[in-house]
Amino acid sequence: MSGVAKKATRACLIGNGGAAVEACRGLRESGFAGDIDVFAQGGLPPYNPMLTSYYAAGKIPYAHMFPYGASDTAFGRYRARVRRDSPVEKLFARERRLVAAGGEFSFDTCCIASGASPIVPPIPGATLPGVHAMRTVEDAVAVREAMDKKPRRALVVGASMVGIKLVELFWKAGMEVTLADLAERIFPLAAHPDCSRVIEDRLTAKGIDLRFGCALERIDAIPGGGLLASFANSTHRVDVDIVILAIGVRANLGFVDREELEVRQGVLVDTRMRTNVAGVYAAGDCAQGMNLLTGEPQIIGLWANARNQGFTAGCNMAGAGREYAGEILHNITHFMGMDFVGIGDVGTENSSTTEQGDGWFRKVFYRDGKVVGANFVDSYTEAGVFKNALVKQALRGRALDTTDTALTPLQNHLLRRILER
Amino acid sequence: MPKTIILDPDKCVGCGACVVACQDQNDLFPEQGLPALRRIYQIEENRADSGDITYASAGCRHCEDSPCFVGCPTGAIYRDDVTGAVRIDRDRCIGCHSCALACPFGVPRYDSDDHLYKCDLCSDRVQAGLEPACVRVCPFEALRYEDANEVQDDKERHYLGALVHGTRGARDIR
Amino acid sequence: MVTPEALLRAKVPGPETGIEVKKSICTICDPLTQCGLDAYVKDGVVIKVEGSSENPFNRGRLCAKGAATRQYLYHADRIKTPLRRTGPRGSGAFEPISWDVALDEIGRRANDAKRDFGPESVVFYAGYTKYFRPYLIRLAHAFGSPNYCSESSTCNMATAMAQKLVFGLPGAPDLMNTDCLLVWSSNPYYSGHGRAQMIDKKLAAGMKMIVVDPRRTPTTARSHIHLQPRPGTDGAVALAMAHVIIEENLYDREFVATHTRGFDEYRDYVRTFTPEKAESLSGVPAERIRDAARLFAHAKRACVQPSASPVVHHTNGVQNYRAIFMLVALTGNYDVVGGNLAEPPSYLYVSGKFVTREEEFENPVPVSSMPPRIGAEKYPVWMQVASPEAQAMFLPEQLRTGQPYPVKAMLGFGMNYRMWPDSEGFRQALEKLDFLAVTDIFMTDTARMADIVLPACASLERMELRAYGPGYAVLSQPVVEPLYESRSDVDMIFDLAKRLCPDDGLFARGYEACLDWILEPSGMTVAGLKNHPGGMAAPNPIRPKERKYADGAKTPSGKIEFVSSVLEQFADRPGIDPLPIYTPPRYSPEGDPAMAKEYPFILNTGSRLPMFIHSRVNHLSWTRNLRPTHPAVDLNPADAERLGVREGDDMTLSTPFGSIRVKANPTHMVLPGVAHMYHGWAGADVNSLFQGDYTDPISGFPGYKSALCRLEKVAEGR
Repeated sequence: MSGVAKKATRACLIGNGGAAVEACRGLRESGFAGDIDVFAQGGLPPYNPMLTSYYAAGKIPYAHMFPYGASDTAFGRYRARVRRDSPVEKLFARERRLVAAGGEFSFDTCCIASGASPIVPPIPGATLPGVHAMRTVEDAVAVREAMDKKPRRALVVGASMVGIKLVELFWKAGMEVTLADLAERIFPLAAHPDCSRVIEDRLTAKGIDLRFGCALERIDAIPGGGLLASFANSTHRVDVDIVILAIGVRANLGFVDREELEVRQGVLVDTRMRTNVAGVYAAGDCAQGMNLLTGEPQIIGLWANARNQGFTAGCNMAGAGREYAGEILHNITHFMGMDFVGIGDVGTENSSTTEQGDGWFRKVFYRDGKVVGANFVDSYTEAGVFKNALVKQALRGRALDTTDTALTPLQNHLLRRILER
Repeated sequence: MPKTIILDPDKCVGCGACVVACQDQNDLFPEQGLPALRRIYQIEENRADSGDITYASAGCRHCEDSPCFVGCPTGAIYRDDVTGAVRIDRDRCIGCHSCALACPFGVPRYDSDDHLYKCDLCSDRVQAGLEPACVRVCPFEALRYEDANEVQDDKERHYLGALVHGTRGARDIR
Repeated sequence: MVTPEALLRAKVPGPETGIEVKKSICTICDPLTQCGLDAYVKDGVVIKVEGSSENPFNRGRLCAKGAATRQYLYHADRIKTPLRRTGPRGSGAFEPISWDVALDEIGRRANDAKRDFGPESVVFYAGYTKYFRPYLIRLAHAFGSPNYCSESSTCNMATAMAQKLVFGLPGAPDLMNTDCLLVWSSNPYYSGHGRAQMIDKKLAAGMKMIVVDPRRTPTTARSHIHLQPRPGTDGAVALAMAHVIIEENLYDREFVATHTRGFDEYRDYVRTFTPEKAESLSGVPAERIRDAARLFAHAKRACVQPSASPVVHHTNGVQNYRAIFMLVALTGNYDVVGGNLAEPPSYLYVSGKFVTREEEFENPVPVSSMPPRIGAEKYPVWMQVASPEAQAMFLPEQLRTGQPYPVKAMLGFGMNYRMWPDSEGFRQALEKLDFLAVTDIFMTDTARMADIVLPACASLERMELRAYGPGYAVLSQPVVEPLYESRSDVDMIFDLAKRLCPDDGLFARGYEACLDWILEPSGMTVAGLKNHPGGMAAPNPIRPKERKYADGAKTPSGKIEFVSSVLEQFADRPGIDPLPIYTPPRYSPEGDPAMAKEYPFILNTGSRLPMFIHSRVNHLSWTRNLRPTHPAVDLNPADAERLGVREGDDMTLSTPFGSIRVKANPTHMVLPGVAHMYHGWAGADVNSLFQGDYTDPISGFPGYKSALCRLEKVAEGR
């Protein structure tokens, strides 16, 4: 397989986000001298979807959504040709060709880095004016324009990291905000119920209306203005000016033949970002790499993970033989004056320890005596030590403790603050 | 490899002069919401039967493959081409705290606007021919501004030499 | 390329930035020798400090306190004008007044007291800093009062007394030339980094180091042998070391036979003090004591590095220290190169290898011609042996009883009542004064008790003279104008002299003339020193000759005394014995077993942390944030586990005389069974837990470093 890649003279990148830029860097830094073609969904430079809510909130200027700068800068420095508005329509992986923008292109090696899109529930009213998703630059522009009309009431559907940033945006604008989710609590995937409660209490104290266990059934336009949201299992109706749907995302893989490529939630990749088809790689939010803690493939939709995967794919497309073992789930969300950190596999534990003090909360999760994750509220200072130690020790199959000589004495000291309090 | 701030843990006593000198150099007044860029630690195990005490002064290590750089969603964290310092572009920082979770050493701290506030290796001082403020003040030369690889070599040579001459372990230390 | 803006931001001195480096010294802590300070000044404002590279003590380095100079200098709590009290004492109600009004009132009140009750009814007290002492002493004595006193009533003077009782002239460890340093309860890595830097160099060059310290510190970590006695048992350890040295015939027989007094009695007493006996008293393994004794006695040259107060802050302190210094005598290491060299101080306690007329300046009238000093009856050994000061620890009792004579007025320069045992009792006793004037940089709890408060300035705003060991002197110059209406303490003293002793002709000539008068034998002048703002080497440095005792030691017998002829005069008093008899601290498991049942922890207080010195920089955010857990008691992790407390948990620390609320700080620095409490915290003043008479009968020093206490966890939510 790698022999093919080494002689490759044409590389195609499907998608133009962070993973794609890093793949270009990996290719060139590994000595790839051939052509690189980047197939872009639209005409925008690579952007970080996580930044769009910051733009919507007016916290950053438009240009700052694009961390690599303009397209020509981002890809040009790696002598890659960007084909704007050229979404890939069909990928023939084994035949090493693809169809895009009405043309057909062959390649020696390719990387699928097409990212993900928000899930829009198939309910009546989901496409009404005033109802927004939040993922793309276009979404952000639309929400920001909507804010110019000084809406007074907002409904955010989806108690996720994106959802909470929108709650913060509306709350800071002085609006009445309802946060609803089918789940019974906030951050259902990343937070333990005890931790959710700590956060929910704080949100309630700040005046956020929380509606959990509510399935959004329909949205109706109110004559004369406003939107009325109805929920399946509740008689409660929410009367608002703006609705955000932040239910989750799905990998953009419409162009992939699932008979050919092994796909679950995303394209399955190994530690070199190889798919099951020789010469074809995948990286970023559409790729299903390894969760180091479970040993199972999982999409871990994080900017750093996308960049690491993209760089690894690029190096290997050039035949460099680079490994990226995987990641663990981790997230830090800073909102409304608090920090929530979720690390590892929350919900798979069979025991836990809890500590709380003046304004902070920490919970560490254990499965069969081994640390598998943690939740911190307003206790970020040792979070990075903990997360990196967990990764390091997952890689070596060693239970996390505070006597590991692979860590510095200071790292062990900081871990003790979490594990031995 | 460019020089960086290196700690010799055998010499550090955790006095905190480095922390204050850094605050003095950079006008970091906590009452104005500006965090210290270094911290001192007295490192002991909690166990009753283990009595080792060591000290450390810790700040940004300006790692070669900085996890904070990779994890920064905005590109606000960058490397200074001249001094090799990992620096922050405050205009680009959005206060998301991603670097706090990325850093394996628990270094990042934020100002009252939630912007990352970090050590820049005293880049401007260094270019003017001076040492970083923390290195300049350290009473025991525990902090030095040196090439990390050379220091490692030095330490190894020192250690091997001590083994050969049988001096290591002879002293009743700790 | 670095832009001019970047240079300015980086505070790089030079013509491009207009930043000037001006020389000063740091006196935030004031042990003996001061760190040289480079003040970066722009437009009359200090914008940064660094250590002065040419200074022989700090060699360019600073500690956390000195590095925090700017916060100290520009702190919002500085007193800005002279103040007159308008509300009750302690209320903090004051009105600003002019300097003339303030000084006139002080002069009038002091002269009134002198007229009505005698000059001895006026007390002149010097706390921190120390530079103005020669002038305050002269002011007191020229005024006619024998009652100059200072924080030396709890610091270093008793160490000097122990040495004077044994040797006549105290000897300082000749670190640079010694082969074996015996550090007795000192931790210069925290309290004096210049000294510690030298120790590091000497260790690298092969010097052996023995450290006796109840705590585990960076100093003990660097030692070859660490003896870790329970607090207050130092004497037992020293006597057992002497036992080994004598029994194993390792002592300097010729020196002992020729130059000492009372060796046979001493030997007979020490014979009973086996290392095993010392182990049972101190907890130090007998074998370690033997190892230490042999290492010390076998060294070609060995010396004792004493500490200012740790060993003497026990009710048996002076006796313990006598036993320690006798190890120097036994091994013939007194007043020899590499041993404890007896060098007379040049200025302000420090030998700078030059001679001055400081002592003559301070004593225009001999104290012996005046009424007895405060504490004279209770602490007669102090009165004979210590420098001519009153023993300030007796002041509260004299204030309360008016006996043997009333004290009516007090001028407290940099005074802190929390330094006294039963500090709250002393605060209340201060109410008895007719008049109290206090000078300080900050509005302290003590200043709040004063009738008149005078705003003092910091070292960067004034001129002061300091001597340095290697033969060096600094006459610092102000680097900025005094802030607000503050003035230097010396300026205040010279202005008070016009009002209190107008006939003193030397005083009338002013500060610089007095300095020149003091410096006259040194060959240095104020004008000459001003040309060297960072300091200068002493011209023609004197080399004191070794073994001056051979011509007669400065003791009553002319010999080095194992049996003290001074203590013989008072041997009928409890706790005083001519031999260095070991008695356990009054409140200790051996000294008071009944109390120890109720109060099972040994209470040890007052150790240094590297970022604090007493309470002087507790209010600066830079230093305070280095150790956020305040006020904290150190306890061994095993004790913490037993009591169910973890770092930061609330505890009560009680003695039979009171209790305070503190935070737990479990650390292996302290022995099991010992509670170490840091001092100087206003809300948890550990000195308030000691009785006023819990003192060493020889020195009058409070027994701050060994008493008994109880530690309890405070229940959640209380």
